[in-house]
Amino acid sequence: MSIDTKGRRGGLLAAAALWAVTFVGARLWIEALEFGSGWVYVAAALPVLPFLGLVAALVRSTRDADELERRIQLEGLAVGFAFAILVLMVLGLLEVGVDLDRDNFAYRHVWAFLPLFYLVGVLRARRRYGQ
Amino acid sequence: MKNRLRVLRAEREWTQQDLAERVGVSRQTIHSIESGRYDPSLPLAFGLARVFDLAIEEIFDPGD
Repeated sequence: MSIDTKGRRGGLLAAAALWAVTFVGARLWIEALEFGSGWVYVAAALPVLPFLGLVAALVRSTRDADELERRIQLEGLAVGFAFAILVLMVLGLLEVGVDLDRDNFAYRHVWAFLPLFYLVGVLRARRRYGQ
Repeated sequence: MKNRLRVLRAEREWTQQDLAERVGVSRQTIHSIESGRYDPSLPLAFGLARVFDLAIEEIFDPGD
């Protein structure tokens, strides 16, 4: 059994780059459209397929990974998922009692923290296992 | 869990990459096991024992 780390990372990076480009493109397009335009739905759907491609690349990468890499990914997901719940829970509670500023706490702001939490979890696990 | 992986590997003049390829894991995983930061699964421990032609307890010491 051989571990094709470079090929795996290359595929992941390509999928991530494709998704990032389509996301930024969709965001810029939406900002240029009139608010409420029907094209907003088309633009918002643009990054969906590339993101599913990224998920597929991640799944392939995990299948090819050895046991320690799988554990690192699992710990990253556990931390990311737990913090995602925490943030959404607190924001949900706050929303009941106060008007959350849509310019700072809308979906467009909150979602970006979720992959960040996952990355923090992965980095923490890599550090723990000396990688 | 303590282990003698680094010593056994050095005796055979294998690099971490050599050993990693023999048991089908990454070089980083071998490094983590050698440094005692990661305890391998039972199948991987058997795989390591097989490539060194030793019993598992001759490589790993639970330390109790």
